[in-house]
Amino acid sequence: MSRVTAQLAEVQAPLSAESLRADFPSLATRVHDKPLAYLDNAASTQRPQAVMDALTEYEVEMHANVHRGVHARSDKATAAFEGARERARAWLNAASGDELVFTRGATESINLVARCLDHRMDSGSEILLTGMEHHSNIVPWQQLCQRTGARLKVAPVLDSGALDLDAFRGLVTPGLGLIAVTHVSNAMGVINPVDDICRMARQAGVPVLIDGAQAAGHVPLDVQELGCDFYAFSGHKMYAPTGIGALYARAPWLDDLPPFLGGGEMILEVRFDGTTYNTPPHKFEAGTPNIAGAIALGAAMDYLAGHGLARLAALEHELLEYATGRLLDVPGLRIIGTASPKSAVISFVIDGIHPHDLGTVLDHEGVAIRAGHHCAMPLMDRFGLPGTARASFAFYNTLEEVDRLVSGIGTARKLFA
Amino acid sequence: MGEELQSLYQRTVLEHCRSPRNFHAMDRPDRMAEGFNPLCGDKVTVYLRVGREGRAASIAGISFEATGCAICLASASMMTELLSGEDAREARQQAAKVLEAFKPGAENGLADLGEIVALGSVRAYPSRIRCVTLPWRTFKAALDRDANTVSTE
Repeated sequence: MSRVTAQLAEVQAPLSAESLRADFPSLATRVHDKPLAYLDNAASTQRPQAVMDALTEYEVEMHANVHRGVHARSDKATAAFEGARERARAWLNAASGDELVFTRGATESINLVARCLDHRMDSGSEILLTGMEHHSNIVPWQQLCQRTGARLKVAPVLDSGALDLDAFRGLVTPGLGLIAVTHVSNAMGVINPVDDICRMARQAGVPVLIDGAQAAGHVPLDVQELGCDFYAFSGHKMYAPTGIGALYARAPWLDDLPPFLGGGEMILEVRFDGTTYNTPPHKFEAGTPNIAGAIALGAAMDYLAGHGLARLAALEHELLEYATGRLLDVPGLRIIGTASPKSAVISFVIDGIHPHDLGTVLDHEGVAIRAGHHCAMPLMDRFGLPGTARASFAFYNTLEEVDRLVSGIGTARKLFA
Repeated sequence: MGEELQSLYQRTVLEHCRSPRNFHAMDRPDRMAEGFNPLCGDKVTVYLRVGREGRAASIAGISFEATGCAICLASASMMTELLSGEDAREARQQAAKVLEAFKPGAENGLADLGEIVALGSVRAYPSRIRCVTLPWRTFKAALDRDANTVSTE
């Protein structure tokens, strides 16, 4: 199945947030006796009923262990679990489902790669990151450096929040051990030119890992066209439950890397004088996996593909444009990350109002945002800020919710004037 | 604006936040400590001058610097007012009382602790409790000469 059929819907009926909201029961709840305006989607998205139905159906109709049973339920569960892997393959347009390893999320996906690369690193190795990485795309590499003596290089971020691509290009040298870069900045929403980055890497013969946690479910993706070696993402940021995600790795890598965790499922034969490992992806999936989570992730992908990711992304872009305009009219408000293109994430600071206090005031208005460093402390240091307030949108948000955000900011400005 | 919010951000709290007391670095402090809230990136530094009369020690001087939210700034400001000139042992007990009062499920034991009672509503906001306690933990670390940076985690 190509990306066109996986991510873009055949039907082109007009979509609206209002009609899509009905699919998300949690959006109809109230907070502090106000209707919920959930603008913290970069932290975690809400789940559509279709995902919850898939979970219930799995539990009732087929829950059993996978790849083990000699009974009907286990067969059903295995078929659904492997069916979810095929959906993930189609979602990313990977060449084979064997290139998709289910993990707990993007963090575990990145750790899996970092933990399995020791044999390719030594004290002369260098790993290139950017200044806008989430801690989960920094710390695993620091730990790899501690084990092997390798060193980190960091490409700078411009004042606009964009990656300094010229500086980055200068840092991509043959012999570089790995490039690990985020697709979309979780703190600012800025979309990195991952096509250019992968092209540079190919020319220099350097492997690339893309942290797609903030991109998956918002930005169309084709890993073959992109040409990355690894792509990590989480289910809970694309309308699936927490505790499930995946690592895409080009087939030769999964043959080359040693196993991550040891246990059941990842073996073919175990004897006390030696063990034969299973083939990828099972080689990297020790223990009973998150079967329900994987099936729910598949259902979330079906939901998104059913509506067409491009059309959903267009709704999010409309929210981004409207919210950016309205926020820039607020006196004393500064947006961190003004570069283009951007995903629907707006990080901002307001003179005289601490992001934490703003978050609490907005919460009382029913508006949920994130306040803090967004697990990107080096980026906050880059801008000389302890933290920011961040409003992040999904296709189910409305322009009226943006108005409520702006009105809540007005309340906070009065309170702290 | 709702009652809950007004109770959280009482006039006393906002007033301390706008003009925090003893909000400056101290020249050659006897003791100091830094506190850090990794959740939000807020930082507090507490400076102490310890006075001695025979065996008794007292808080002869206390000041702080901080990048923090209104709750954190108000808590630190109120703390310096309450503890300034206090007997050191008494001050340590008062800090312990405040920290105890903000533990989950604890009784609101903030009476007799000066204006800090105005921060009692924060107890209903689990994600904000660390904003109140950070200055107090940092004070304790300074008094106890704990060299490590205090963390709310």
